[in-house]
Amino acid sequence: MVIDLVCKMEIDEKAAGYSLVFESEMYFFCSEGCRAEFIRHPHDYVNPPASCGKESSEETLNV
Amino acid sequence: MCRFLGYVGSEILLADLISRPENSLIRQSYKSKERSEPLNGDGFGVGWYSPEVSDEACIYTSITPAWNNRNLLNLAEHIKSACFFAHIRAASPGMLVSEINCHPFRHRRFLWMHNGTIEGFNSIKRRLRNSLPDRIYHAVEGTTDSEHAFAVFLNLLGEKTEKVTAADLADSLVRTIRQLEEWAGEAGIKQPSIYNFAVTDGQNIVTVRYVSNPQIEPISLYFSKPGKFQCYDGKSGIVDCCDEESGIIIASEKLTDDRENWTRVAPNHVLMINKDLITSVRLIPGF
Repeated sequence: MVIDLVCKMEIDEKAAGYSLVFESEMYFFCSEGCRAEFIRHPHDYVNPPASCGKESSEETLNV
Repeated sequence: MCRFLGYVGSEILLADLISRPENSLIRQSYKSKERSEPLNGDGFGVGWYSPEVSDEACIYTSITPAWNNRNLLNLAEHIKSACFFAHIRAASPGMLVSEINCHPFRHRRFLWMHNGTIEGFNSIKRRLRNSLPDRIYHAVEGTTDSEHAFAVFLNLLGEKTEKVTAADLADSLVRTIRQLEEWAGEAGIKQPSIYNFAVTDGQNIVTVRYVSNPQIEPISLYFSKPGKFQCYDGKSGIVDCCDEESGIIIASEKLTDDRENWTRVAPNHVLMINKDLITSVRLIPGF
């Protein structure tokens, strides 16, 4: 499992449909939106400031 | 387009976010940093909760620009609240500038704001209004796409007599977007819509940063780390503090320059902040 740096979700890299190589590292994303966001602002995510927020445990959207 | 902010946590002065920070909402009304057009002068609105008085928020709206309204500055310096929304408007072409078209919109204990545009709204408006039960249909006072989206949300939320959870709000928000996209598809609308919606019940805040074409960068939206927002001697920032003094801000633009205190909401993700200030971000399933 890897972390999508944009949304911080944990995803299965084997099943992840969205990825790219940046500065010789492979990054995986949950969606095209997160991948596109990373391309727009890579340095906000590769060496980000200290993280913020208390993250919850799993919470499901029933949609 | 517009700008907005929301807050939930321990009580703070409205001015702490609306007027005092370096990139306050009032400053954004004439010098927005993350819009190509810096002006948001088609009115403003603030909604704040005083639970000792009522479950419903109090609303103050005006069609004057926020940068030019003495009453807003005076009120903000004298009102404290543990949950509030504030919005400055840049009306979409064709949308009337009037007080009833200013955000946030209110229905019972819920407040709603929108930054973005429902493309082709006039093509789906009739079918949207036909979907509403009388109690919600008659509650729509204005002409905006934003308020009509709120009506759809309220209809999908249903008659919740118990307190809703952040997950309930998020479920209904995502279903609202799905419904709007469905109508847009049926109407043959090709241009992408932008749905940065925010909703609160006075305890939970849920917001979304969404665009219907994932190749397009959605409008900016951030949330702060939990902490105490302080303005002192012209400088503002978020400091660590105990849980009882803590709060979280959602905002179209960072209010301060300290990057480490702000996180950009991921595109096409919904952010839930519950009354315990636990945040959760989840991907909106593709439609």
